[in-house]
Amino acid sequence: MENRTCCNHQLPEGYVPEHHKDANAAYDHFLITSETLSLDKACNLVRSDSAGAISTFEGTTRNTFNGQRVIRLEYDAYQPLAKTEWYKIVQEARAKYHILGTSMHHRIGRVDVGQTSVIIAVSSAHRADAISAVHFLIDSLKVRLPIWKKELLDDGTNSWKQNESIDLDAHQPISH
Amino acid sequence: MVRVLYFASARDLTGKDYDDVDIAKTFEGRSTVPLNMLLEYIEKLYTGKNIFQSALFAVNDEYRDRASNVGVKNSDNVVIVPPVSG
Repeated sequence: MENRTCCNHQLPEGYVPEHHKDANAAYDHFLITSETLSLDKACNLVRSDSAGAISTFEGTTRNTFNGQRVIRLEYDAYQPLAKTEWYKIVQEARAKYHILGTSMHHRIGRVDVGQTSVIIAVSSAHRADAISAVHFLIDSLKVRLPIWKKELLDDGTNSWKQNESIDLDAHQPISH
Repeated sequence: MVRVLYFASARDLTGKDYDDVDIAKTFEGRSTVPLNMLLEYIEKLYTGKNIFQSALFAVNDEYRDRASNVGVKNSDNVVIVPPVSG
């Protein structure tokens, strides 16, 4: 009787790894909210007995941009397109990495300096997949999701920001 | 009606959250027009304001290239996506 292996790690007899190939709201969580975000909530949505790792990213409002002081950011989003596009991104992540659960929470409305605007959490059996998937997911979010931030500076001016270009092709799949 | 939704800088430049366009009334009885034709019509409503600078576009919640010739009909929705910053 042969024991199964995954990523060179032996598994108990009859054990089937749960890294789903298809994005699904049952284990890929998406939230856009005007309420304060919680890292605990984002992590608990992806927590799993099959996981050896949960990797996370938090985006926070920085107090400077281009030599000026930032007072706060204000976010807006078009949710229906953000959701459909996010699930496409997660599907791509699932093709590159073995991941168990994901969660993405993004805030809209005011996000003051020091506060959190976005959280991404990913669980996986082995840490390389979770770490790489989080990096891929946040880079993809910044290129593809219809979310915008307006920056209020201390001279009273405000402007809609544009993200700098990101090379998404740099995210190579992990072979298992 | 096609509802054309504006966000971020496009909303600031048009001064509106959206415009509703009746395809048949606006385009001589046609039931469908290519996306680009609709966008050119909108641009003329806001001449000189460059409302679509570097924008992407979505039809029924899918990104569509302006040049793709995808057809737009009444009851579709179109979203103007200026450069993003999530």
